[in-house]
This record gives sequence, structure tokens and C-alpha cells, in this order.
Amino acid sequence: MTDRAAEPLPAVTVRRLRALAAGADPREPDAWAARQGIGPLLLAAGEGGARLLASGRQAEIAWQALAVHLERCLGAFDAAGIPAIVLKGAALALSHYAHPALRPMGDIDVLVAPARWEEAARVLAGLDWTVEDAAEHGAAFAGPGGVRLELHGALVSCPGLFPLRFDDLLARSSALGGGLDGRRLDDEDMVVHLSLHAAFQHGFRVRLGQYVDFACLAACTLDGRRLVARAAAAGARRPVAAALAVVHGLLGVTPAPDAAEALAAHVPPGVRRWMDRVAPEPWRLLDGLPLARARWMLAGGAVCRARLLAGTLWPGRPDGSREVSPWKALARGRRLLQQLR
Amino acid sequence: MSSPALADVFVRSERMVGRRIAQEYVLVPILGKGADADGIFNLNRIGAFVWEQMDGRADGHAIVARMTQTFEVEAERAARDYLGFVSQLLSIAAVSAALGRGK
Repeated sequence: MTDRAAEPLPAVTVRRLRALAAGADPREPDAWAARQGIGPLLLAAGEGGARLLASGRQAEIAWQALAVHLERCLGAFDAAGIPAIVLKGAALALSHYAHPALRPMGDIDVLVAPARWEEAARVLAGLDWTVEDAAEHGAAFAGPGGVRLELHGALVSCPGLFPLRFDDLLARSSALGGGLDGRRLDDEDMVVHLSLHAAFQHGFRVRLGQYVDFACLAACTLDGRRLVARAAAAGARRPVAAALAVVHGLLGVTPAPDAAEALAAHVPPGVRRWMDRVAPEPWRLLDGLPLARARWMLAGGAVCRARLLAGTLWPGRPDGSREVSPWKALARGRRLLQQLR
Repeated sequence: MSSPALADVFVRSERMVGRRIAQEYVLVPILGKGADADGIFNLNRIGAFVWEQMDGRADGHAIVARMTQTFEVEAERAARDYLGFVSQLLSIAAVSAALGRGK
């Protein structure tokens, strides 16, 4: 069961965030905090001056715009009979933050089944959304008013590495909450996704606000054994273990400490060495690792690495199909080798 | 369309959704592509009040009268502000002339 946090954040976490801001940018900690997406949280905790005030107001306005479009898009998907799951920022903002505007976000993320992706894209086109950028796991759309939506057919790139079926995720999903009619991942699946997103998708290079999401989930009653089982079933023990370790290194909190302990052995040695290296300046964890190297470490094992290689050279599309151009594969292979050196 | 007049009646466009934040309003375009629909519009306290009055029935005279009562502002100033604001709303297609009333 999820309990929405009554307070924005525990005082100890707020102090930690202030310390990170002061360490990362001693001259302009408020500006740094705003860029890292934690401005409204610090403001709600009674901290900061004009810059945080501005970021809080901006977040409030941005949230209202996103909420209008989220409601509209979910209604349109529902009318078209397309099941959808709201992911990441919007889902967390509605379910785990005292007020959605405390969780700034740049876009809305929605997941549909790969087989329904094209149809969902057409629904968005009918609402005047246009494709801006396409990737393996989804495409970024721009909507009226400059709002952004990422329509996912998979949770992350190289989805073949992490067997997370849409129907399973939907069956386990929770109500979105916050007065909006929709679905979100349940708490344990959310931790798995956040971990994959931070660690695998971005090589740990995400804003601090996205790591604070883990802290908000830590405030809820996560089922540690279920989390471990989900991570294992998804082939995601390494990314989840690594992400939880980085969260602890940054914020001093661990969602589901029993799960983190059970998964600790799966933190890749390379990630441990990196964390130890930057430990005196924990904000440097936000710089992340070179993406190819992070993915190589997180894949682990010959079979997974072979799949990672195949997925990188011949990436899939959001609708589940796969690109097979040999020339593009050659170019990707060359880039990959350069990044791994 | 020519400049708005106080006798005109305007109605909020279906292309915009308004959301109240405390005493202010955010106008969110929900239709339109590219530059025509780019940006979210923030109305201050007085703008929010006028926006809520534009129901397709009240003309500018009635709205200005309500503004002078609510905000204790002179009628001439209220009329000037109202017309300037309506011009801005027209330029972003946030309002349109009510059918059968005004221009």
C-alpha cells in the first residue's frame, strides 16, 4: 500500500540536499538546486530565497500545463481502448509527493504496449502532437503550448535485456491518484524502472530530483522481497543494486534496505570503484559514468553483453520491430568501441 | 478583427484550458501546432478575474463595472486595461466574439 508523504521530505534529507548544493556550487547553491529539480522541495521545507521562489512558481505553472495535457491524452487513449501506464515524474508527482508541483519535470512519460504504439502515436497526432525525436524505446512528442510527452513502447533502451512485459506491468499497476484517472507502475516496479532509467538508460547521469524520487519511495512501505524478486525476474539486479547504492551515496537513504542488502553483491565492481573515488564529493555522482561503459558493467555476463551489443548495433523501435541496416550498425559499432576504450 | 470595444461580448476559446493557481490563472493551449500554439500564458489576479467573466454573455461594460467594484479602480483605467487585455487574448486566440453578440 502506498502512503502519500504528508511532509515534502524528512528534515535529514533536506539537510543532505542543502549540503550537496553547497558542495556542488558554493557560490550559487540555490541556482544549482533549481537546475537539479529540487528547488520546490527546498522551498517547501522553508529554505532559500528568490531563485528557489522563482523555481517553485515555475514548477507550479509547468505542472498545471502538464496536468491538462496528461488528462487529455489519457482520456484519448482510454477512448481508443489503448491501455496506458504513466511513468516517472508525473506518476511519482501524483502518488508520492505532497503536491505534484514539488516534483519538477520536463515532460510526461506514458508507456503503451509495443503492439499498440503506432495507434497511440496516431491518437496523439489527432490531439495536435508532433514527433520531435525518436528512440528505440519511444518517441518524444511536442504538444500545444510547448508541452513534451514521451510515448514509450518499452521502459528503456535494449528492452530485450530486461524482460518486462507491458501486460504484466499493467496487471500489477496502481491507480494514478491525484484526481486523475489513469494507471502507474506499482511501487516495486517503480523502483525497478527508476533504477533502470538512472543506471542503464543514463549511466547514472540524471538530475538529483530523480534520485530524490527514490527517497520518496523510501517513505512508503516497499516490499523488499517483492522488489528483489521483481529485479531478478526483470534481469535487472545489477542496475537496481547499483542505483540503490548511488541513492545511498547521494542522500544517505535506501528504499527497502533489506532489498538493498540482498542485492548488494550485484553492484558491479566498476561502479563500486567509481563511487569510492568520488565519495569525498558525493555530488559528483550526478556526473555519472560514460554511458557505454555503464551499460557494459550493468549488463554483466557473456549472454547479456552479447544481447547488449546486438541491441546497440541493431536497435529496436517502440512498436517492437527492429532496424537491420548494416551500415548504421557499422557506424554504431565504431562509436561503441571508441566509448569503451 | 478590428480592435475590441466595450459593447463587444467575448467567450473563452475551447482551444485553451484555464487552471487556477491561488489568485492567478494559467492558460494552456490544447489545440494547435507550432508557433501558433507555443507557450503557456500566465494571468495575474486581475487578468484571472476578467478571464472568468468572459462567459459569452457579459459585455465589456458589465465586466468593467465589476472590475471597478472588485478592485477599487477608476472606471476609465479599468476600461483601458480591459480592452488592452482583450486585445492580447484575441491575439493568442484565447477568446472569440460570442455568436450573435457584438462583432
